[in-house]
Amino acid sequence: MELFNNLILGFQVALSFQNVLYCLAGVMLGTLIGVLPGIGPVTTIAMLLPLTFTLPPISALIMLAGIYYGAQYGGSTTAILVNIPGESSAVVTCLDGYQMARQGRAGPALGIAAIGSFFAGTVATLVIALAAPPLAEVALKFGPAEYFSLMAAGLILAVVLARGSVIKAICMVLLGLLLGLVGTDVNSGTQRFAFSISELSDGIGFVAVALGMFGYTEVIRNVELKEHRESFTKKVGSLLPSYEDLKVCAIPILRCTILGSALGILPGGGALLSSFAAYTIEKKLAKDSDTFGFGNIKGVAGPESANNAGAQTSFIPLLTLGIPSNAIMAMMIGAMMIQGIAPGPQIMTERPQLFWGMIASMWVGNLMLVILNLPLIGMWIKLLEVPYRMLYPAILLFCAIGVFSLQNSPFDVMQTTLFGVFGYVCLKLEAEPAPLMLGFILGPLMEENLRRAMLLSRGDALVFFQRPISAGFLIVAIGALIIMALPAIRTKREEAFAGED
Amino acid sequence: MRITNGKDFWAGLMFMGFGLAFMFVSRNYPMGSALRMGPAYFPTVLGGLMAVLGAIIFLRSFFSKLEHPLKQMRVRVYLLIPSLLLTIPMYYWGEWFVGAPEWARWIGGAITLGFFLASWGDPSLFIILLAVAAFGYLVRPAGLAIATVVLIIGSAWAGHEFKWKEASFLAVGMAIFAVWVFVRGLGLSMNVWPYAWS
Repeated sequence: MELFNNLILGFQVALSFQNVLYCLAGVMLGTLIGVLPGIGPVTTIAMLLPLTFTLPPISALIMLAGIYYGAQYGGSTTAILVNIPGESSAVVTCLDGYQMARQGRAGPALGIAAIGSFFAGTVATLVIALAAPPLAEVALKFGPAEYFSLMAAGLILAVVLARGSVIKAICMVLLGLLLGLVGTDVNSGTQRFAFSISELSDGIGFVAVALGMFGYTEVIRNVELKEHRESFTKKVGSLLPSYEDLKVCAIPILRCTILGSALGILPGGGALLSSFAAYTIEKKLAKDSDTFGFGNIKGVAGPESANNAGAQTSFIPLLTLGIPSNAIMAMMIGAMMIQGIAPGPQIMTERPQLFWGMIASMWVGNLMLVILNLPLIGMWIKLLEVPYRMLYPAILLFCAIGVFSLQNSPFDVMQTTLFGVFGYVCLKLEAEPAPLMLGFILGPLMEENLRRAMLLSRGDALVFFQRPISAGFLIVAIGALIIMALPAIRTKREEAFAGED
Repeated sequence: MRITNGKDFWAGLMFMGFGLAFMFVSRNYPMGSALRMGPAYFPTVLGGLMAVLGAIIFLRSFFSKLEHPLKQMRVRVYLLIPSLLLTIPMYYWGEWFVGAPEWARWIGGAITLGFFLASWGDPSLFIILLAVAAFGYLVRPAGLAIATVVLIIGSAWAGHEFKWKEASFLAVGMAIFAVWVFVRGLGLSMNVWPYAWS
């Protein structure tokens, strides 16, 4: 019954006029950037952070969360109609969704994507409501040693579960941790790596890192690729899938929702991993697996449900442990810190309205998405006809204004250009930027917890293995690294992400 | 000995470089002990770990089965070296640099940043970043309107199909939009016109 009361509290918060408005703004903006290729939720959240400064915390977080799951809805539209993933998690939707569009079934593809996403969103909201409180209660008992091990394990798992070279990703995590340490050391007051630049004494702004490495790099990569689109925007037809389609898709939607919810909780999880895994599994389990890639509706329904479920459940580690599981959650932590909220298990007890309001808003947002988006698809299609050469200067401008207005500092704008170069070099060298972002957010926290743990244990590093929970985390992390080194698993992992290219 | 994986070769060098640089700079701060960690402790450990992993990536590039060319992108060394040389006095005489007159820092910073950005990759990369940097430099002294026009036209010029007419329309439109939405609407404190006019 407590859950029921909590959810009622949540809905009271989420359904207040102001919050409904911000939720609507978030999901519409999320859909917009999801539809548009070349701009993702990380960039958008980073851009909007300065503007959320003046909002009440709950409204700000409801809006920013809406951008993430809204982008999952929007991404599928572009994938189906234009064969370009509007959002990276919609890559696999291109495979079957676009083929369906070519066969004149764009409408049902869009419809089933929306229905699957809504079902997944509803289930994922319930999963968060059920799973978060017990997790937060456990986390409240954590000491510094447990926190340090948790963060270490989280970072390593995030690296293992993401695509690309593990060892390069670990290097990116380390670099992120180091960049996070720039600025004034809280313990001694020493200025570290600031080179007497007064702007660096507060540290490198994470908005600058995110916009440089994600925003500018994405734009530059898209400008380099010449535009080549073949779209089926004219003949969308009826959006409602037939009864036959629904019957075929019911089981995949259910299965992939569960899969996506589970994968979303893992570090490194979220929408991207979920959609890839869902497509692979549906293809394996389907009796008609040879039609996958040629317009099988299950290849749209499954991944689209999974990515929405994963997007939402990735909020669980954020809300209960204060640990980001992917780059977007790292941005959410940033948003919380700007609002003066320390992320962690105490949020649930100290700010129940924020906690439950956010959870309830996700369901409200999903409902708005499914009701508003289907009629609005015509408008999104119009937007897709705007050429990229008109869009990207505007994206750059919003990024530049966003980062400038954070502290009214031209220095921040220049910082982003350096991270833009670095992000581009990393792109060429196939080093993923997301692990760097996670490390960057966790750097100061990890150092602080390491210091405290060592102080409590009188300098004995074995403490991390003597405390059972902490030892458990470290064993999981080491185990994951060992498993990764096994050649058989390595090829499987490469296969799982192979659909990317 | 042949470098088979050019991507790993450069990535390894880069991570080794960053790791060693962080360790080197950390020597300026107290190390402390494992019990009471000084500000240098954690970065030194992380930097060391990164240098070791970087070395592994570097060595791996000689034996890798993946074939990637050694040339991954254009780097204009004749611009990169002067810009890096300019940062050395800033590092060693930091106090002096902070105390330098505003205009000297402004010009010094602009040259260093401009050279640095211009040394990397294809024109589309560095023109876009230079346009953004120019926005940062201009937004206070010249105001939001002019900075926006520079950013939009500059970055549009970096694309494949640049049309003066289209870019100018976009620039003016975005300048009006930015002023109305961000300054009038959301109340961000930015001056719209050159600072000297107000």
